[in-house]
Amino acid sequence: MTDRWREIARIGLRTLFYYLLVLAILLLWHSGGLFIYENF
Amino acid sequence: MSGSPFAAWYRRYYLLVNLPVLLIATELALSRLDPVNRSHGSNLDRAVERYRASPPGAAPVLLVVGNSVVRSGIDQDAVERGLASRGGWRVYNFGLNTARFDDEAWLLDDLARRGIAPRAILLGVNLYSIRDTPSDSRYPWHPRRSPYVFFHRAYLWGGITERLTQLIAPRPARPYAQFANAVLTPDELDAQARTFIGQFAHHGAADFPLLDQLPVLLRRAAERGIRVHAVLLPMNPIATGFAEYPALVAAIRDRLPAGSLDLTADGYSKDLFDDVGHLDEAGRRRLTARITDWLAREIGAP
Repeated sequence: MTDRWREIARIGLRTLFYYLLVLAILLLWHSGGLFIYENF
Repeated sequence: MSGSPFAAWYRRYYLLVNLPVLLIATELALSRLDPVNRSHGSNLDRAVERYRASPPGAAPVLLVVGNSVVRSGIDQDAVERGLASRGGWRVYNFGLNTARFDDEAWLLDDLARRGIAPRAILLGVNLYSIRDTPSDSRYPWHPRRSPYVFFHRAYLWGGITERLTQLIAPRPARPYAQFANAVLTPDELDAQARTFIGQFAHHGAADFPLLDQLPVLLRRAAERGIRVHAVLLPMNPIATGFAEYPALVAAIRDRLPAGSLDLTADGYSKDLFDDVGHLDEAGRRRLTARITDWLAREIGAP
């Protein structure tokens, strides 16, 4: 793997990591733990 | 990567570029696809479906309004049969999961927009009606002013964990059933009771501003000419043993119309509950029969 591809992979993976981190924070922000998903 | 000045800048600040782009793309894609509202009908959708499937015609309409305890704890068909000699009322259950007093006030407006005009409502209340936690984000009276992922976070997270659970330990799908409640293990029930007590014990009425929404709901009903019959619902005795419970119930009772039915001290044992608030089948039969008798007297002869 060339240095160029290694750098692209590094940027892509770090971006993915922080993107998922931000999504997880948004999703898990205090929401009250309500039973609203269940099918009833 | 090339050695241009932009490439050097991007190499240093790529997160500042990539993350907003990805988050904006996520927002645009999700708000366009709207997977939350697309995948499942909300409780309100189910209730409206039941109404549309059997419209009342010219008969007077009684709506059963409250939270999920009302949805699964009051059998609208049994109430309707019980009121048959009282003027042919049609009874529809609009108990909505997670609904609080403010949701129920908005529900009346929403139903008016849909052309549903009840002559009376049976309002079932318990302490969950004043708990200040967000209700189901799919109810149409909640305007979305935040990112999709954040606004629907409770539902999205529930969906993700449900799918992961299915991957690890598949369970047969449970079709929608109005009277079904979550099935809890004894440990889960204990945890739910502790959470409930933790939310209400050592608190006074002043800590629950949603109490002020109850008069709003009653006023909204009065403006529309809707008569309100209110019932204080029983709760599982494993969760009501804390010192402040009677005072909190009294704070609700004081704001209800005179002559409301208080079942909080009616001797419902823990065997009649599926969890802290939801009644099982035997509990539903007992509650429905008790409410129907009372309602028949309240409504009187046609």
